[in-house]
Amino acid sequence: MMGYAAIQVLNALSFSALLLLTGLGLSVVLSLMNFVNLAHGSFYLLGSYIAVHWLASGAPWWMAFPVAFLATALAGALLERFPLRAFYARPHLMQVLLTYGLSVIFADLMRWGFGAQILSPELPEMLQGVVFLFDMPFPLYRLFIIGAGFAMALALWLLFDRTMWGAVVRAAVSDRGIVETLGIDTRRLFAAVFMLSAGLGGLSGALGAGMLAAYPGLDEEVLILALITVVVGGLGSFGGTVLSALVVGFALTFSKVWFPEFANLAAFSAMIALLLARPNGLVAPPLRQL
Amino acid sequence: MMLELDKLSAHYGAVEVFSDVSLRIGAGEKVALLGRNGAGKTTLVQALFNLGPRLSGTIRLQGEAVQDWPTHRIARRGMALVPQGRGLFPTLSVSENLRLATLRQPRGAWTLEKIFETFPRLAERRHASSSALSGGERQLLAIGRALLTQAPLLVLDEASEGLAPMMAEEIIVQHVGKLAEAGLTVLLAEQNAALALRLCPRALVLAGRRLVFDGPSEALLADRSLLQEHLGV
Repeated sequence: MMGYAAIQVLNALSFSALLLLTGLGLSVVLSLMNFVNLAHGSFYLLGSYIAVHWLASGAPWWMAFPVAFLATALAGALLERFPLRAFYARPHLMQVLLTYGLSVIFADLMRWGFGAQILSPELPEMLQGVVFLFDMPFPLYRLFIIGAGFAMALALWLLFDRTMWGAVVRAAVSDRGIVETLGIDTRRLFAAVFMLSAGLGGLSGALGAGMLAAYPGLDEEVLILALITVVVGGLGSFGGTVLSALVVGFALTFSKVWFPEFANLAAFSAMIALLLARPNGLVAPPLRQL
Repeated sequence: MMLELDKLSAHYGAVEVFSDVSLRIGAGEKVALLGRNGAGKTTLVQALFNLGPRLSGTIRLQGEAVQDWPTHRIARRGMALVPQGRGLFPTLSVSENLRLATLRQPRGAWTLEKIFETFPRLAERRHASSSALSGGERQLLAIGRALLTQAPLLVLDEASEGLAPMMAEEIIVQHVGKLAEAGLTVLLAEQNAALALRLCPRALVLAGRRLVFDGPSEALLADRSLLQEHLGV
């Protein structure tokens, strides 16, 4: 029993790590640029496909992750230039329509390019197999996801909280115009943040492929969970996103254990209740409300 | 010429905020921009930085027409803003607020250390969050940040607002006065006309969407009816 619980906790943690990385990418674009990107799940799935193909290619396995990050960041950079940039000042509904439309196009393109079957990556030898906890087997790769996911989140926190670049981003969240009066080109800043966001989506997809596989439709599944993570956490709050990634990860994992037939119903009802109780999310942002 | 406005007009939709404002400010001048609450002072200041409504007319900054430029290029051309409400970044420390101004600007006479020497109260609180400062300290931080952009023209918008009279006096007449003596050009948009005129030998009055006065502060102070009608003094 002890072992079973420990395994489920680790399952929840690995799922939370993926939600955290995906959610942070979405959150930073939403809070800084006030932009709703419903194509974020496409970056995730693209990252998954890149990892599957990279790991099958025989090239050094660990490079799958930086390659997925860079490739999706590049895709993000192109997309930001056209057409997203023109929609920053538009109402959210228009942004939603545009990016949802884009996500449908990307879904079709990916189905055409990568096929419709479920693809699982060939994991490198050193990450295959299981470890035993209280005599229960647990996939080694999921421990890798937990370690890599939370390490990456820590690196992001350091970037935003401890570097001057992060200070510029935090300043632009509170007042973009004043940042401009200090001679800083916030349009370039926004483009860089969007690239980072897209890259994070791709990186979480690359990490997650070994757990969730890659298949058409996964982009939408991941998007909705990332949106929930961001909203439950409180927009623009780093700590809140960490906390809510854990809440959502544990809620979904344990509702699958306890109420397998009603897993989604249980998990999403808990989230609706949470949002009714705390409309600004778990950790309300100190600054502007979006 | 430091700053030249030629037939500058601003509109929010169909609503005219001000129109046909023409003026020239030379290097090293201290100019007060006066007017009642809602006369359009802040809109005019925002217009200078292309942060406000759509404009027509020309703005020349050190000889260059900048009215269509993005704000960061205008700032780099040599104009710094101490905005209404200070515009500090509450999630940043005092020294981060200052360092932000040094990132994209050329190096110049002002350094972080020189700001801390000039405003020792900021040095003591350099690691504090800017939201933990007192009203006077916040204003000094906003001024220090503007100075660090090395711009020769400093625009202050409602700098005395929210400050105790003694503190407003200290900051505007003493600190800004000293900066102006050192050669900085100052445009002071100010509700408190009496205070602004103590610093600035030249005044502009914005009323009824027009510039109704541009001349020596003494002449304005002597014109009782103008003071009464447009400034309520």
